[in-house]
Parts: sequence; C-alpha cells; structure tokens
Amino acid sequence: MEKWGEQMKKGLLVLSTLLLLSMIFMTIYYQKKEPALTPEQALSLSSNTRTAPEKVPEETLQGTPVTDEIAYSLQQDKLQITYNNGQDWVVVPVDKSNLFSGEYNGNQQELIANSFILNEQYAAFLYWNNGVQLIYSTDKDSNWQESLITDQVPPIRYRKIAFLSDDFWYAVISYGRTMSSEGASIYITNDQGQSWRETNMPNTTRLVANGGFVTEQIGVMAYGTINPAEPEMHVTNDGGATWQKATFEMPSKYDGVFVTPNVPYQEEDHLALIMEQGPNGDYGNIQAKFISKDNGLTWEFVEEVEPDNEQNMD
Amino acid sequence: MSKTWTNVLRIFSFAIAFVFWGLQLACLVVQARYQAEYIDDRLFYLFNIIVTVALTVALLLTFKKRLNILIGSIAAFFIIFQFIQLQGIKDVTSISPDFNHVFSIKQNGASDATYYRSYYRLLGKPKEDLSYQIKGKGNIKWITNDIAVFTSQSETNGVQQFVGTYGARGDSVAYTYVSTQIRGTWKNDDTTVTASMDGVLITHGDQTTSFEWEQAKQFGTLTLVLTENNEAKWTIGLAEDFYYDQNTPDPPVGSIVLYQATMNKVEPVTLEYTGEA
Repeated sequence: MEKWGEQMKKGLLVLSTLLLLSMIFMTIYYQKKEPALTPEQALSLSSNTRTAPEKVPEETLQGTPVTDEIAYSLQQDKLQITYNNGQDWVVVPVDKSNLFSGEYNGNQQELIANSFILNEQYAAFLYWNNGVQLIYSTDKDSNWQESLITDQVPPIRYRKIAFLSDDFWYAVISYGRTMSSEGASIYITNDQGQSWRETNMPNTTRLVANGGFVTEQIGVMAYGTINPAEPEMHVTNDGGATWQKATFEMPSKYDGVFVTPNVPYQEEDHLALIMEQGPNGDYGNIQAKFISKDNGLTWEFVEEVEPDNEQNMD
Repeated sequence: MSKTWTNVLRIFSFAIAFVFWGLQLACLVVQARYQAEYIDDRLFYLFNIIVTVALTVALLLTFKKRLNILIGSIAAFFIIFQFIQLQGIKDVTSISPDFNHVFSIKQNGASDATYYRSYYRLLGKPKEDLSYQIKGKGNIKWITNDIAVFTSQSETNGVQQFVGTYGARGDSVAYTYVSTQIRGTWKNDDTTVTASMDGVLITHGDQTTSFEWEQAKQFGTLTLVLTENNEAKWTIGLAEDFYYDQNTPDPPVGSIVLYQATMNKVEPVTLEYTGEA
C-alpha cells in the first residue's frame, strides 16, 4: 500500500511536469501564431498571389483582356496595350498615376471601368492632370493625340468616356465630393476632341452613379451611390439642354432593392434599361429590366433578369 | 481534514486541470486547422491559470512541506507570467443577455480593429475590418438579444458605432433594407423618429436632427447607423417584436430601438409605431 502510494506520487509529479512543459510550449506557439485573416484580407492576399506569380520572365506581360485579341497591361508601372493577344505591346504615353488620380480606391491593377475605350478602331483613355484630359488614337499605329476636355474642375471621382459615333463623343465626370454631394458635368465633342462643350445638368448634387447617352439627343444621369433607397434618374431629350426626372413604376416588393439604373439602350421601338441592386443589395444575383415608351420619362417593370443574359450597354 | 476528503479534493482538482488542459489543446488544434482564434485572446491565459491553480492544489495536497515550497514558487511564477500577458490584451468582448451570442472586437497593435464572429462560444473568426483604430476601450451594448452596438472613439474620426447582428426579422429569406422597413413615425415619451422617402428625422428632447439616407449605413438586416461628418450619431435597430411584410401595404408591427452614439452611459429607447410619416 505504501509502495503504491509512492508510485502514485511519482506519477503525479511526472504528469504535472509534462502538463507544465506542454503549457509553456503552447504559450510560445500561441504568441508566435499569425492572426487569422478576415475574408476580405484572405481574398486580396490570394488575388495578389494570383496576379503576381513568383517568377515572371521580365518580358512577359500579364494583360487584362478586353476582347479575345485586345488587352491592356498596367504592369511595369506603365500602360501598355496589345492588339494581337500579347505578342506586341504598345506603350501609351500617359503617366499611370494620372489614370487613377482623383477619388479612387482600388489597387491600380485594372483601369477604372468606363474610363477608357479599347477596340479595333479606337484606343482612348480618360485621365486627370491639372484638368480632365483624353489621350486617344484612331488608328492602330498609335499616333496618339491629346485633348484637354476641361481645366475648370478639381480632381474627379466618377469618370466615363464613350463614343456613340465618329462625331459624337462624350465624357461624364463628377468632382469636389463632400460627404454625400458633389458636382457633375457632361462634355460633348463633335469633332473628335478638337473642341468640347459642356451641357446643362440636372439640378441635384447627389453622388453620380451612372451617366450616358442612348442617342445624340437622349441621355440620362443616375444618382445615389452610398445607400440609395430608390432609383433617381434624370433624362434629357435634347442633348443635355434640359432635364426631367424619370419615374419608375416599381412593384412594392422591389422597393429599396433595385436602385441603380444603368444607361438605357434602344430595343425595338422603345428604350430598355437594366436596374441593379445597390451596394448593399443581396436579393440574389438578380437585376431588373424596365422599358420606356416615352423616350425615358416613365419606366415600367418588365421582369427580373440574370446578369450577362441581357444586352447591357454600360 | 479527513483523509477521504483530501483524496476527493485531490482527484477533483487534478481532473479539472486535465479537462482544461485538454480543452486548451483541442482549441489550439481547431484554431490551426480552421483559421480561427479564441473569441477573446484572454481565454488562453485564463485556461493556463486554471490548469496551474488546479494542478498546484492537487500537488500541495500530495507532497510534504519541502517540495511544496518549490511547487508553490514555480506555480506562482507561472501564474504571474500569465497575468502579465493578460494585461497586454485589448480585446472587447460581450455575451448577449440570452447567452446565445458573443460579440468581439480585437485590436492588435497598430492595425485597424477587427470584428470577430463567434463559433461554439469559445472560438471566433475574423469577419470584418472596422477600418479605424480604437482609442481607449469603447463599450458594447446589446440593444436586443441579437444586436450588439459597439461604441468607440476612433483615433481620427470621433465617435464611431459598429454593429454586430445575429438574426433577422420575419421569414427573412432575402436581404431586406432597414430604411424601407421603418417608414413611418415612431414615438416614445420625448423621442420621435420619422422615416420617409427623404431620410430620417430624429427628435430627442428639444433637439431635432435630420439625416439623408446616404448618411445611413446598414449592418446586417437589422440596424442602421446614422452618421454626420463621418461621425456616428444614432443607431436604429429593429426590436425583436418588429414585423413587416413588404408584399402587403400594411404598416410595420412592433417597435424599433434607438440608441445614441456617445461615450457617456445612455440607455437605448424603444419606440412604438404611431402612423405614417
């Protein structure tokens, strides 16, 4: 009995020492452990490693495709484009940082959506450098031309350049944001950037969500980006001289769901547009289609659509 | 103390030590495998202290004087070390009044504070960066059993509110917008909230403030934080009895909860629906 007790004591002592030692190791491990990542951090980490593989041969550029053959690249700290799927690259003579100057919060790995045009016929890039400027080329030989759209505005937030035809180009910009209001302007040129004229604007200072023209006469401006409760879109039928607020006949179950209209497009004998959910939208991966038979003044709901299946001009 | 009682106590303390040690080990394994952490980093040291104390009690009951001095001093040293580590941790954690949820914000060094979602009460996974650093401690208030509002002073931007929500109202299959659900006038003794298409009007005592919807940030499907110049002013939450069916024209049923963003101690106010805006 006495002997057994002694053995117990010894065992207890050994076990306790082991526990203590393991706790010391656990503490060392615990303090050296990397903190866990939020889903967002994990995502940005994995996308970083994806776009920047460990060993890139210096000559190889990883382009961002625009069409099958055409792509651009922002690597090597400059803007380069290719028309033949990466075999030859042309440097666009523009300072990369100017393409992102103004209010922009992204990682500068891709151009800002709508801030450029890149197709078989045109290459055009909107940027800010002491004014809103456009650098463009109308031939693939890259004879670059620069055009000052305006030097009357501070650095820009929303930016869009679009060409409806050879002699109707327009730019939509917003600037000077304080909290939830800002200024916005539309500029049009009919002579391929030789001269730009500013149109009138809707009477609002809400944040621009979208803007553009369907035809040379019919254009829209959509507002509300932070937490819009309902769509606000203004329509012009005279090329931007006068504006009227559009009304949407929204089924009440979509109230507050579909809030951001895209720029409309022509469909048969009427206009159609796709309305997206707001920044907080979580009503599934669904958009809404509206049509208008009075050049954009009133819109009626047609159906829910899934993205990509519908023509979407914006 | 009789020998039997000594024995029971010894076995009991040793069992406690072993259970908590096992729990600690299991938690660490799970954390390594599933990218999780303790919901509050202090738990690790707390468990270490429990194991050490229980082990020490068991050993002191077993051995004679001479060895006990050694055991006691090793234990004391180890426990003091754990307490020092505890002091350095700035996690803010709170358990919901119904004990079903744990809300946790961690601030590691100079990086932005991070919100953790809890799993199995003890563990948590980082969910979202608050995008600001917390000055001081901040405080957590559960305005319902499933809404926790964290009010803090940020390093740069004054008072901020961050909300953790752990539920939904109604059948909640889809995402719903708080701003459209609370349209109407809500009242309590000296407080009125009027929510309309244009925004929210809050009258509290003799002060009236108006907010546009663009100044509102939604958290989950239950709360809005109203801001002014990037500083939080009020949080509006849907109370547990709130019900609104967006497929009918009927007004909402139940109440909403209004909670002021201030570092002073304030109680949330419950408001009843009184009619259209």
